Amino acid sequence: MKYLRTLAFLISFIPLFVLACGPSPQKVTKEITIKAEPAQVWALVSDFGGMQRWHANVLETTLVHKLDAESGKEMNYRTLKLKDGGSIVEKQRETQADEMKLGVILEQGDIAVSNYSDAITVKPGAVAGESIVTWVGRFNNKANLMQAPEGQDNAAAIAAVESWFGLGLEGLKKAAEAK
Amino acid sequence: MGKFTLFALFALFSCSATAAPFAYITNQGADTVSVVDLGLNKVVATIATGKAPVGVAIDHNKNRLYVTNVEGRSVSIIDMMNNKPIGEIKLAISPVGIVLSKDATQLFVADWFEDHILVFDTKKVLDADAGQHFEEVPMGKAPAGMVVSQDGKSLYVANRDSDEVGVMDIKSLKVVNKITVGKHPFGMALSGDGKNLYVVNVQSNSVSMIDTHSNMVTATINVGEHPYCVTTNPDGSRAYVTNTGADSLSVIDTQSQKVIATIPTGGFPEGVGYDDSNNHVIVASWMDDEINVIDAKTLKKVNSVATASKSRAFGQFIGNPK
Repeated sequence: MKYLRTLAFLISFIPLFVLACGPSPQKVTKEITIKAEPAQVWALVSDFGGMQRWHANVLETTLVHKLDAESGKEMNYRTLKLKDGGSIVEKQRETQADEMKLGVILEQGDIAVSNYSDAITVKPGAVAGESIVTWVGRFNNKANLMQAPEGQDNAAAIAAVESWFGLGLEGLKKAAEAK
Repeated sequence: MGKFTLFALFALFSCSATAAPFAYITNQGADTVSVVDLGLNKVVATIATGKAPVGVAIDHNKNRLYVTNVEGRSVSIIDMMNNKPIGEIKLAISPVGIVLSKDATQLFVADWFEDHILVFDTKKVLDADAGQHFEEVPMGKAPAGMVVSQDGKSLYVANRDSDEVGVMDIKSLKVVNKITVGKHPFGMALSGDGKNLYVVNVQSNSVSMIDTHSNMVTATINVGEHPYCVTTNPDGSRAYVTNTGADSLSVIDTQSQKVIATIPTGGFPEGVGYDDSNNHVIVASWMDDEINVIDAKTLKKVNSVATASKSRAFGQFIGNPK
């Protein structure tokens, strides 16, 4: 009973809770080997306004450089217009200059997750002229609840991120190897 | 095998059993704790826990490790001498933060969703019905990190969604103070001399420094994006903060209250602890399923040790069973 009461209470306050990470976040990791030089792959990945060049579900990108209220710093934001409808707004994460790593924090978006952040890393492959790209994301389900309703639960969130990464990495491979 | 080799092996094992501290890393995605020998930089044991372990507390008197299982809704109790589970406190709540009183007679468990601190008598935690016997202290919203003051009299609780640190008097179990900090306080640590308490503010990208005598915020120090946890070195001259949004560790000079170095870490660094026998800072990386070993003098990453899925290590996770 107590648990049901808590759940009902939490659901009634969802808008207040979406900004705060739940206690048991989920993770998806996907990796792909690309027959192209790391620098060439990195050029595609690091072009913050160019995701439509390699992600099959991105129609166009709008870039904005603005003050981030949290850090007080100027940060890069992008709005990805999606082919299957809706959009995603992401903020570029801070990264070290010498790393081939690009990370984003999801601000808002038509995807079944909350508290989402990720990182794409490009590393040299086992063979010269090859790259290994790893995409890893951390997120809560859309409801941000441990026992969430269907469609807003962990399974739905993981499926959404797996599809996003899968389409992206396949497209990245295609784009990089076509050059 | 020669005599010398045998001797060397013996020396190695006797050292690892007594001298080197161990890091007890909770792996949220593997339902285990990885025990890392910090002398050998190697996982020497893997202990099964409940579902989604997060928080850690160590009782050095009884050589016991307490682990909160947020999805399993329980606290695992582990014997640190043989790395075997010896009990489980079954709860109705979702526990995250966990800490022991100074004399280890009381165990404090933060109830994330219902805004309470549960107080257990450690003499009874191995009883079958241990999960039904506790005192309940109302707290601020989403209580997370907890720290006990140097004198053992106060429990500090980071109430994440209330943007404050609650101060509970341990004797009377009453909240006696609330200190307003930045947005979404989470991890906390005391300075080596106990005079200062450091609290990370996840959404303000800063650390609040609290004077534990006056319970006033004396400084706010900007760190990296979305900081999570903090630790200090024994003399209190440094504080180390994990930045989950920047995959880095901020090193703070506590005298000048400035960040003097930012060191790259594994992805989404969470728990951080100070290994004072090697002067290393140990960072748990949630994304990369590893710990990073950072030399506190050179401020360089000297080693990484693979742990298991979603390493968190929230709380006091470095211990030395004896």
